[in-house]
Amino acid sequence: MSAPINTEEPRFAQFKLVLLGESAVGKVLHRFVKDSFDDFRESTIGAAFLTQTILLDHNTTVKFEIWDTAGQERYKSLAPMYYRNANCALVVFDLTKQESLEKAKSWIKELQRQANSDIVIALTGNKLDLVQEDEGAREVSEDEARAYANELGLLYFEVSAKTGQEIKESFKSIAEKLPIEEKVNPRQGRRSRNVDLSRPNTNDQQACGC
Amino acid sequence: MSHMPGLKSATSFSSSSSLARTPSGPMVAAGLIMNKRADVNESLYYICQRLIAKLEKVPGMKAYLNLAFSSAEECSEQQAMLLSQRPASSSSHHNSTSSLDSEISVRSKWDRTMLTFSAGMLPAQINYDPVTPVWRLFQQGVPLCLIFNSLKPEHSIPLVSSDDLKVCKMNVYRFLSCCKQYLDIRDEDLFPITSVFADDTNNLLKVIKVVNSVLDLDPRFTAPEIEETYKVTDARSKVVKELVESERKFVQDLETLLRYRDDVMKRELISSEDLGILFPNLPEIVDFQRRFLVGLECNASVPEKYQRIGSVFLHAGVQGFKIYDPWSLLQTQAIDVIAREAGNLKRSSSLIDASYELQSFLIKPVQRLCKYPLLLQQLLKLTDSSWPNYNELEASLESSKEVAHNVNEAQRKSENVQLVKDLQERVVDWRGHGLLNVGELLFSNTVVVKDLLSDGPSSEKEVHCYMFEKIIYFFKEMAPKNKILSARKKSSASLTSSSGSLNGSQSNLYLNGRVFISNINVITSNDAGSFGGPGRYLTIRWKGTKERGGCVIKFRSEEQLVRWEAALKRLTKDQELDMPKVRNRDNSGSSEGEYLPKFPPVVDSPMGSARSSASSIQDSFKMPHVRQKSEVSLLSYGAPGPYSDEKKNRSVSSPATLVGSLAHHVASVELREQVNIKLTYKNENVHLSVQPHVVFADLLTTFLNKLRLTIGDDLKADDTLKLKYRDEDDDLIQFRSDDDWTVARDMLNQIADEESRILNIVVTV
Repeated sequence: MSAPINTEEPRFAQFKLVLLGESAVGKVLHRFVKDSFDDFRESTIGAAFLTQTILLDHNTTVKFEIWDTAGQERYKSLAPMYYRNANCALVVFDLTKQESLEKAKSWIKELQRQANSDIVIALTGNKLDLVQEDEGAREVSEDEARAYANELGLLYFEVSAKTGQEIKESFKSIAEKLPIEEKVNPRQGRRSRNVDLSRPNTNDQQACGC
Repeated sequence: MSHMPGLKSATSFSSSSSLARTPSGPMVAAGLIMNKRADVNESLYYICQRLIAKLEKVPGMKAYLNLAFSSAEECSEQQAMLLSQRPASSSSHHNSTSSLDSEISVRSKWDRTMLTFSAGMLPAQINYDPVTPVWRLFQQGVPLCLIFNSLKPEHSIPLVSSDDLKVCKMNVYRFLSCCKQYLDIRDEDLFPITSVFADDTNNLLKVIKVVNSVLDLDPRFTAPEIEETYKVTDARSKVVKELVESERKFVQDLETLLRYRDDVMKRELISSEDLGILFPNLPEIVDFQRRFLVGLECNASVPEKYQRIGSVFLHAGVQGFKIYDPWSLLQTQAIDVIAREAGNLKRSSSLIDASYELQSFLIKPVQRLCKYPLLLQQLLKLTDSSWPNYNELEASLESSKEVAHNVNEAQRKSENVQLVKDLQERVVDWRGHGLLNVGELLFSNTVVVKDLLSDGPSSEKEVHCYMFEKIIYFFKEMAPKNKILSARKKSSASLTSSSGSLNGSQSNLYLNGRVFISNINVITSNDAGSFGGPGRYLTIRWKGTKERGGCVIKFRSEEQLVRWEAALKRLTKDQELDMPKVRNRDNSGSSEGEYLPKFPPVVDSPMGSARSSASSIQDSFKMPHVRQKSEVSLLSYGAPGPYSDEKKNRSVSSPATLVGSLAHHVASVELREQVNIKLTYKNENVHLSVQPHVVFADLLTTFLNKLRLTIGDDLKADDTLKLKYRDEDDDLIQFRSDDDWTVARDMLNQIADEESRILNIVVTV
């Protein structure tokens, strides 16, 4: 990772992201983290909290604190502990299993009811690699899932945890949707949840997207 | 990124973990502490192994070490014996979960069988864990003096070996004072004498730290870091490694948290109450989990076939893991404390970043408990069922599932307490019902309900459905137009409900329907017949004295359906067993004794009768009528289309008592609040509630039935009761007619305090 050239003051924002859905979720997480820069080796399922940093543009760094509930979906009452205060959620389903989409939908409903009202939710279909190999394996059509996501104002991605395809991109899209300005600037971030800044801030208005 | 220096990643398994220790700035460290792999050399098991290697180099230590080894072996044998005498795990957890043991006894149960620093029974290849001998060694006292003497022979402490505890303590004392005097170790860097004799890893580590630093003064006594020798050879060993490594990580995270707690305590910026919420029984937990880890490490050191990993889990068992109860229950409150005290926490310690990472640290115990079943499941799958300890492992999987289940259950129950509180706040119209005598809240879900007695899309609606032990309530949301009310609710709720999972903007509810569990006679799941579209449906039908009906409930998830169905079946079955149920003819009119004593005899929907029409006039101006209009717009929210094309195939044939057919409902269901009554008969009391418009004659019958089913078993069905009620001056007033009843109610209405608005009636025959 090369250091950004400091023409402006670097901006740094941190967000809590919760992973929900089928147990393959864990793999998505590991792919995401492993493929990139933070110190993390081939994961064990025991280590379920990770942080990941991505560079959104030349001077904007977004750090994700990733909360993985993989394998714990059956303990329903514990789920709110995970998604409370989350700024974003990645709800993963399996593109080759229609019923996994239904489960994802019920997570989304729960999130919309119970989580932060401004939570950014990304509906994410996994196993893109399988589907690309054999379109017949696909049980959830992209149109259907995307339409559902659009209707509810969610982001939609199709990724492959196995190959890592589209994963970084989806995290980046999530980062772009997050209220970075609010996080970076303490005055705008007054309603802060678990918000803080650890970097010198700037009020640069146009630097949000890339 | 400039602030993210390139980090060496500890890639291979056997690589020395010291590689992973990269010095880094505070921001990075905060991020890393979470991602960082656990350091083998910080694990108590390895700390002690290395310490023993050092101690062996101290002249004259061998004899003492051997003594300590044999003492540790004895402890292990005794522990194994105690554990083997314990009842089989499967039966033991059943007793344990039901018994409401206090925390102390939970602790002592674990303690009584925990004679070493390693949980479980050791594999046959190992006689003792490496920690217990170290502990036993220090307790002799003399070995500590020996260490000092080998460093400073000119100031030798006279060696007095003895079994006498006093002498041992004296030796420890001498060691400590010589360290101070001749080795310039400051008081605060030493340990109190009691630390040596405490049965606790926190104390033991204090002692070990000092001993290590003393030994390190002399290059003769150094020993290399212990290399982890565990080899991954197959899938199973990979799982074992994962189990042990992730456990190490967990323990080290807990230790970090413990250090953090100590920092925070020292600064005294956080109240002790908040500390108790953030870190309940943390030192205890750390101690528990370290012994657990030592047990796992011991097992990882022997051939797979002989491992007794199951035994480690079974030793702790469902009881042992109860140590986490306060932890998981305070979680929600802890999050609030973090939010409120973020500034002070930051000022107190930089070890863990309060706003970013603390919450992740706090949830780790809960997360870990839920992970054990997954790990054990994997392990069991890869274990040969002919291996000697297979059954033990199998039992441990069950036990770990129960532990995780209990954590979830405890959480659910505590949520339910909050939900009931919220419900109390949110419901603006109980229509004569309430939360008295309804039993515990079991489930609450938002569902779509269709009344089987009415038709059309209008009879399907999204409602908040609460199942108590004795009644199911269906509530509808009110349009949030009532600003005054909701504002009031908000202000009172904002203090408390920030801890709830729901935010403050909850709309008010009104009761839309209810079903007495005792009346339910049909429960079938997945009956999608009367509802369009796929889904998870539960059909229930009920039959009471003056009402019968049915509805289909559509759940959002399979899990909800399964839970509801199971609970309902259990509850209705219990009731059948509980008491012989009198099923009356279906005619309305009298309110006879078919009300089970558990239920407040609520007179319900006596449609068309003089009474109800009288009350409906009186109540017609009340809110529900108005609300009905706005309801249609609410209806479509969240209720997806599939079932809207339903055909009308039924006609309304009987008074609808459930959701749906609201027109009937509003006209017939009483809108006044119920009257709470306490009956005193032969110095015994019984409580019940009735509708205010009940006529005196019915009241008498209700009372008689109630008494006969409860405290007045000597009464006969045709007995005539004589009643007196207590007025505001505590005088007993004759209660013989509808007029008396009106006066009594008026009196009650003047009592402002809802709690004491109870009509006390003394009954004689």
